[in-house]
Amino acid sequence: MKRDPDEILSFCSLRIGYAEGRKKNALLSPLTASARRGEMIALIGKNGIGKSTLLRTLAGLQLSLGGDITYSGKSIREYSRTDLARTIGYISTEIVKVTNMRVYDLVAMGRFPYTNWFGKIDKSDHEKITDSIEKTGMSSLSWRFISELSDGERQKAMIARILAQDTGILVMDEPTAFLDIGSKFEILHLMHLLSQKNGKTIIFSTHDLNVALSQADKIWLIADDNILDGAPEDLMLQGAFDHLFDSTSVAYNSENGTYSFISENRGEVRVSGEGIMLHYTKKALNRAGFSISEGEVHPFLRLPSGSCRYWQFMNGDSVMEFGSLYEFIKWINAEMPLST
Amino acid sequence: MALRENRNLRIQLLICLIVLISCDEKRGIKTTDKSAGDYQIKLARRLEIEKHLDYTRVTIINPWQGADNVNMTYFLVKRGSGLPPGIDIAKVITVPVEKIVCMSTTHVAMISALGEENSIAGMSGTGFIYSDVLNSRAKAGLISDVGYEANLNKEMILKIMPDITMIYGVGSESSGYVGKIEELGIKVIYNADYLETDPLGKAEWIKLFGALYCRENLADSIFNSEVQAYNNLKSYVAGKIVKKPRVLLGLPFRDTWFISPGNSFVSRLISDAGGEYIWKDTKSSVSMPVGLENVYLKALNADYWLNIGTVITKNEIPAVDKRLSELPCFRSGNLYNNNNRVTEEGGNDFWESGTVYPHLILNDIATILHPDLFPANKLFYYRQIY
Amino acid sequence: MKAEHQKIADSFKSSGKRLRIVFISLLILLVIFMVTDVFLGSVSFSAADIFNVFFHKTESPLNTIIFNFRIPKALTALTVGIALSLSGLQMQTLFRNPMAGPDVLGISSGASLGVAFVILGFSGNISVDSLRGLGNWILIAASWIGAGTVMILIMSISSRVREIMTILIIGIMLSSGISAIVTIMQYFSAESMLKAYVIWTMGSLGNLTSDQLNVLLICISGGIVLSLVSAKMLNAISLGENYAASIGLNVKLSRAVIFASTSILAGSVTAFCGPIGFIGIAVPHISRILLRTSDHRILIPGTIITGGIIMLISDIISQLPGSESVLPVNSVTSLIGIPVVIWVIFRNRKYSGVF
Repeated sequence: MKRDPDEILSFCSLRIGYAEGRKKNALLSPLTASARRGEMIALIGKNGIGKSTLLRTLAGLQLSLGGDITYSGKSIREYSRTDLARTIGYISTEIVKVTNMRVYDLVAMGRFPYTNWFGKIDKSDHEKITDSIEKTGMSSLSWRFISELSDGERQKAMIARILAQDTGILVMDEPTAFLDIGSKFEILHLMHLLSQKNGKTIIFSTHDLNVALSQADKIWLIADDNILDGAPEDLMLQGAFDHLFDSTSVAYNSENGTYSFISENRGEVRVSGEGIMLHYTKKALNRAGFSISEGEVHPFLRLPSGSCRYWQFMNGDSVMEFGSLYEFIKWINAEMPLST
Repeated sequence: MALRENRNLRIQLLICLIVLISCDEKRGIKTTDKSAGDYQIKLARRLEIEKHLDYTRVTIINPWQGADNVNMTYFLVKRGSGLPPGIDIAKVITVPVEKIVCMSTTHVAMISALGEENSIAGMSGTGFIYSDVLNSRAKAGLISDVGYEANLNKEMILKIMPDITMIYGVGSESSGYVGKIEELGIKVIYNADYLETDPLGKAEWIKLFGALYCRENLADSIFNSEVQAYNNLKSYVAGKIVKKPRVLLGLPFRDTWFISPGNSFVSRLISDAGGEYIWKDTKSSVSMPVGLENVYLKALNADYWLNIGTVITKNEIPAVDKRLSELPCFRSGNLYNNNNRVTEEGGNDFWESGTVYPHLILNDIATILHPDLFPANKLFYYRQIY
Repeated sequence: MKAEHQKIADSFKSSGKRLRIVFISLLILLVIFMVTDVFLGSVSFSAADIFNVFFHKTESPLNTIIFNFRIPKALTALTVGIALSLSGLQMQTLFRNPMAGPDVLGISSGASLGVAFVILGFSGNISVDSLRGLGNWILIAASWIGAGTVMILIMSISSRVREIMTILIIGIMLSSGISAIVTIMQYFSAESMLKAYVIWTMGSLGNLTSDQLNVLLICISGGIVLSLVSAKMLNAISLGENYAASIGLNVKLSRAVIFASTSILAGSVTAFCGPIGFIGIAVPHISRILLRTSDHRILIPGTIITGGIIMLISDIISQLPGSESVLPVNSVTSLIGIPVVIWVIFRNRKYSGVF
């Protein structure tokens, strides 16, 4: 079978885990998956299932307990330390704390696999470094000490570092953890650019399912001792996400690929209306614990339309009017309290 | 000759008197009832003995380095006689002592001089004894090694159950071990002879043992003949010499030389022997750390080098520090060490019988410094280093 | 974009200039203190004397003092300062701990155990003076053997242990354990031997013969070469061993090289001069503050010069110019080191998690 020329990473029957002396503790069954050039791959799975271990094993930081990893067709075993460093870069949640280290110095560390025994930075190295700093938008901060950076800036600096490392594959363990919304999107945008424009393969783990499902080209889902490898939509269609959380309090909505909490069912309400109003009213009712029904016997909620700007709630003979969904929900919570 | 000696004798007596008076002044405590005691300690600064009818009162003054106004009084009461009134029984020692544990070779030397070596049941560091007699007794198990200071083997002392334990303090009395021993019911007496800087003053401590063993007369006569021999020699030399040779002492450790001060025991011996210790003008209660180069500069003037650690051959000196071989006293070969009478295990008679008979030491040093005056003399504690 | 590049280039230039100034100043200071150490002591030299010493080689005692005492001592101080500071820098980087020093592996404890065996002997059978005939070499050999044993122990543990912090803890425990053994030996020793041992622990710079000084210089040069080779490794390791591995560093090899370098540097110094403390902890911080860089290619030479300066200052102080007495050099280095260490602790409060 001819190997896909764009396939940059693949592993087959890979057993990851820890060896304690003679004992080998495999975390999961043998895993098989692959990645192509320029793909952004999100690795998701429950906490503690082995995402970090997999990433570390793929990055060559940890020995596998069995199976093989190949980069562009060559087995990991055939790579020297330096060659491997030129192939795959790694970022984790570990924070680099070095006194007096400037952004430039940090990024320069990415040139480690290319410099001589003394670590001399020559002209081409310098160009690569400044280029990487530019690409991550850190030019104005290049002389700042890394201890003075914000979390988002530091993460960008780390990405600049592996850019300078000039690898085809970038492995990132939870790159947007601890970042505020703004920084999160900046980083994601950067990652997107790098994969699309610069052809980098980015494999990252995340707990943010929305991001994974909307941004990634591919998902590696670790569930039930196995890895599922495919486009987010493929996996959704396969129903892979339905039971990701074996929990009675979380429900997966396969229509829009979101999860929501299952609240206690407090009753059914018939709703009339359409469009955005209907959509968000349904959301609010679901959150409060009401399901939508068609049955004539249930209380009826008429949504604002046309000239009428109130929610009208008819229950039996009484009619109540509410100016906002918040007021309606507040009232109905008081009226029909949760059964204890 | 006789005339000059007579004059010298008078000068000696005058000096003694002056020393006596100044000694008394320096002591700081007033001895009451001096007329009642017919023991007079002339030269020892830290010992006082008063003989009364029923008891002898012994006072040890400032028994350790840095002590100030610390006096320990003991009452020696003859065996069999009743306890004199008004005396604290805790401070009573029954004499003559029949069994003793002591801590220093000077103690055992003085006891041996009085012929009471059989009373020594325990000692600190039996390996360091020089005397043959005592060594064989130790090997026969008659003298047990009781360890050092805080490491004192109290159980062994208890087993021996001596009449007294004689210690020399290296710290204040609050050193736990003293209290512990006394708690066991064993009497403890401090001996401060090691702090005496006058060789004769040190030797006079034999009178303490005289009192403890009821051999006062013997102790007296030994001491008095020592005084005589010592002072005779001293004045002889003083009268004869033209110039005083300069003397260097000791050996450095690493790059610091711990120098004996000018008011030390050995310094005194040197000046009494008609020599000049190159640090004679310094005064201190402990040895002073001096940088090697400073010693070197001063030592360039030394004519003789004495008490050179434990070296036996000349070559050992450059092995300590090469630069010492540049010293004129090294080159001239005027090297003498006080390890002529030593045992394999490190016992040195200089610190044993030498304390009882300081005139022998004086003799040695005078012979070394003024060979022309004593052509026939043989060295006793000292030997030349070749 | 060009403007941004220009800014970076400008920052480069100005920091480069600053570094040049700092290095030149340090070198000048080094020379000044070297000269001061040689000429300042209890014996005062006039300008004419100094002239004579170098240009009219007479046999005067002043000459002997200068050439046989002062110059070897100053060279020893310089070497000791360099060696200890360098090993301290490596330890602080490897363990990512600002309080680490060359003692952290237990090297000086191992050395002191060797020396304790020789001086304190077994139940005081050997009199301390009997050593003297054998000279200094016995102490040096014993010290080296002790330090070397600890080094081998640490190296073998290091290859089996993943976490570097584990090695730090083991090193500290080794130190304590060995100290306990030495304390037991001291407990059973007589005064004279105790004093001799205690004096050894105070450190001494002026005791080396020219042979010994030569051997020390050779050892330290070896250690310096190793440390220069390890500059790149140290830079990588400061990121954390995981990141270091990810950029291609052979972590096991790096640990071995760094341990070897530290052991040679610190072990040799302890063997020849006794344990000298605090310089190893304090000087790297001083050079970090002066040079304001994290790059070990700059920090290493900087630490070398700064270490030399600080040790020379300590030596000058311990010589107590104007008086005959001397102070033990170990105390002086501690007294100088402690304010620095305290200052580092307080400085850390300002920035969160700086090191």
